[in-house]
Amino acid sequence: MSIDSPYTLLTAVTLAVIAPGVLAFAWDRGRIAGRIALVTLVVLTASGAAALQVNHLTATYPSWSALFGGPADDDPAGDAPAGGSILDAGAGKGRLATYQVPGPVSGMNMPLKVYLPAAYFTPEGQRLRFPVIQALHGYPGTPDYWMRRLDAVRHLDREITAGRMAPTVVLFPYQTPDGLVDTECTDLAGGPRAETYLTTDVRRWASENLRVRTDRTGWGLIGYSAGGFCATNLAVRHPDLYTAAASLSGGAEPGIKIGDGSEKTTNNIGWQLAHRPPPPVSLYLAWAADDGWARKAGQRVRRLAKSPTVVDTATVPRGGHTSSVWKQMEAPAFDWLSAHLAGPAPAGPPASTGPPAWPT
Amino acid sequence: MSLTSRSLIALTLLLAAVVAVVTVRWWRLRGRWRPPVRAAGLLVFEILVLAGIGLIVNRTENFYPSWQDLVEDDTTTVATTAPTPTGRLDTRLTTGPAVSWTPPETAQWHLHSPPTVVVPAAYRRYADRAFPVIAVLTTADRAAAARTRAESAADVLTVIVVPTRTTTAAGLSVLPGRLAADLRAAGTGWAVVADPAYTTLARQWQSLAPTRFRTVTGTFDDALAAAPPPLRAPVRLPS
Repeated sequence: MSIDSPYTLLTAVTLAVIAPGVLAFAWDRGRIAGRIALVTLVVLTASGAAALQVNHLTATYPSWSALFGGPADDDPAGDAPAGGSILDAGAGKGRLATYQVPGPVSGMNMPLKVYLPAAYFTPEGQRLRFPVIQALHGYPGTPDYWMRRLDAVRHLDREITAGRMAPTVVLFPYQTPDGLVDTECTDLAGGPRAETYLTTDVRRWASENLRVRTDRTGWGLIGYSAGGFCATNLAVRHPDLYTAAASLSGGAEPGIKIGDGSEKTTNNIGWQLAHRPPPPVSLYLAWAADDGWARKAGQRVRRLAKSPTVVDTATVPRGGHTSSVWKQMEAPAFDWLSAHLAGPAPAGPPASTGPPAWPT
Repeated sequence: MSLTSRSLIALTLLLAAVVAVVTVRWWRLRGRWRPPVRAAGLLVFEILVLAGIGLIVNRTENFYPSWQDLVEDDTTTVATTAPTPTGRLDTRLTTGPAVSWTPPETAQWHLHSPPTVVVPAAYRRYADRAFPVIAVLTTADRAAAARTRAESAADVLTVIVVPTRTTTAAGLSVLPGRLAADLRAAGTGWAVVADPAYTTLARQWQSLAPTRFRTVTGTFDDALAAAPPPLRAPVRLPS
């Protein structure tokens, strides 16, 4: 049984219900040690069931292996797509695979889920370099949240097939080596260097191993919740690397202390927009009207942004800070991003003729 | 009572305390009801404590602001697909790829001659897609070369503009909107390719429409490489 399966949760809830009954019946027959064991059983089963439900909601540990420090399970690859011209080549299912991406600069070494669009494998697509979107997860969370809770692959397939989005390679990187350490995609003082990993190591790996564009016009970011802050912050900090970013219920400042005080300055979007030359990036900020925190952040960024920074905003009427909101936002956000990124372009000297060994 | 109210949290924790007291008080209850009362008391206590913790976390993080958000996993999309784009001149673009474009405002732009619009073959084939635009600001003697280059570009609309000394960015400010009405032009991702003499004019023009013009460059190839693809109308949320 997988950690995320309904049967696992049902089993845990059943045990949590049975445990008080066991304690009630056995209490009078046990001695001190036995009673301590019974109480421990009740507490563990109840907290275990609650923890499994929280994990189901956040996809923090996508597998039992990940919970105990091992690698997350790989996703199966999809079917090979059909061929056609590039404007038609979107039809079909993309493939999702997981690669291990070392970070020689950052020191992080993490799995990377990669969505390769159907067109990537067509004869026409083999001669092209594709635009790239880095999709960033919230905290707590993992890249699996995009697949399990937000159904990102289906959304991408549908938008590309419909012609509302160009065939695009989407990277789903981890943002922390420790599920209990929130990096907000920054280089923590004395901690993980997530910003360096995402902007240098992952980017370099993708450019060397995938047929992707390498110029800033072909790179964008998207993220939900903390990942939304990540997307906007990285775009504002690195306009030389990214041309557009979409934030779904993201904040204007990190929810952590980075260790060097930069959460108030150079890792604070509001501060950067107010005190630094406006970066030439386009931002898409979406929030639910009843999510006060994200709404205020989005309105603040919109108010502070000056040309050439361009801000588009979008709202859903309600839904709070939940996956149901982000499910509604992701297709419009992907469409918006695609309209702001350069399209697939003829490949120059090939850095790669295909994806890396499949999958690792 | 609101899902994120302090009173709901207080009530939940108060109930947990009451259940704890009652369970302890009846722990030694005689007869066959002793085990069920203990089990029920423990179970209800557990549920109330976990609910209290959940309510506190939810109030802090504002995950579910209302009961409706909690109960309904509302994925009913409020997004709409924008109308399929159309250009007023679409039906008249039946001859060659390059046409002289003479909207009513042409005289106000103080150009050497009316702009030339170069339409790619894909424009007619993919009638439901909006195309990015490259605006070329060039001299009269280079206009023919610009047209030749534009005709070989597959997926962009090109408008070739030959300014004069009296052409201003302010005067040209209505051109993008007029072009977008006449042809299926994308809403963003446009580029201006400017001869060195017109770089200042190009930058001024860009600053008047920053959402539409993304880049100013000196070469057509650079503009073409940075152009977004022709896309169908996107799915949109309310703004």
